[in-house]
Amino acid sequence: MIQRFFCALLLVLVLAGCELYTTHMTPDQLIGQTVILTLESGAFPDSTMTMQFVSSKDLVWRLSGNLGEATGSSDYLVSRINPQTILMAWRNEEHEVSYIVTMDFDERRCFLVRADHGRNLLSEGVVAIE
Amino acid sequence: MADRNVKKAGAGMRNTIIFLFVIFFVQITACGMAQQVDIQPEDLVGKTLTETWRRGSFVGASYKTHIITPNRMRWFALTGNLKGKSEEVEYVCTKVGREILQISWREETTGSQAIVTYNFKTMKMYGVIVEKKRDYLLQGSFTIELTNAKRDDQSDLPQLFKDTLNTEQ
Repeated sequence: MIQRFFCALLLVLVLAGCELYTTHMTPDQLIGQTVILTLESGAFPDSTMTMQFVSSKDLVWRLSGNLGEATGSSDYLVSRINPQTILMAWRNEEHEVSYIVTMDFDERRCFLVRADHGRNLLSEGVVAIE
Repeated sequence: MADRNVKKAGAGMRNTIIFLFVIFFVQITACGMAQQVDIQPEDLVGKTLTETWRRGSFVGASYKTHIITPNRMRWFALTGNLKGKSEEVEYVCTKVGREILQISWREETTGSQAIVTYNFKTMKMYGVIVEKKRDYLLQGSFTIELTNAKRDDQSDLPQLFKDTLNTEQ
């Protein structure tokens, strides 16, 4: 009886351990958070994008570095690629460019595509939640 | 007394077997959970993706995409509003996760820009189509297979594409 109990306990611990090593992130968890993308390579090295998720549809953004210096607010589209990865897109209507950001919260990496007047400009960096 | 000892030994043996079975089960489960897909951009070259959008503005639209080289591919619209259209485009493929690749390109046919993210574990895809006035978020599913010799006679494609390709050549 004791052996069976320990076996069951061992099983639970192994399964819980596997779960612990994986970060889970849903689009809802972003609401109210500020996410900072620090771009390191590609088209926009040494640039930062800060996104504050106001609601499930709206965000406030700030760009700095060679991405440009700007602040604004936009609607955003969001989708969950896997338990750790979230894809989102938003437009800067003023400059007629779109930003497509893929954030891997497990590896803490981010991938940005700026759809800029017919060109896709790619950059890669680090993602952090403030 | 001897009978009781034999019973005790039998119960001990049975418990040991159960214990070993549980350990085996735990190991198999842990190995299964650790098993993950790891795909590289170059793995796509020489493959054909068959894709269907299932959520978003282009539900039901399906495509075949031949990945020709590390930076060129040709898509064929099988159904949807672009049905019958085909275009060879330059693309960029980025590995954004262990099982995730992201392909981006610009379509001359529509003037739009596409950023499609493929999850090779779930075989689901997520697209952002950027048009002049607005962006579209789409979700769909895909399959992947070798682009085999059938391409030479284009027997893997619907008739409407065969004429297009012959004209181009």
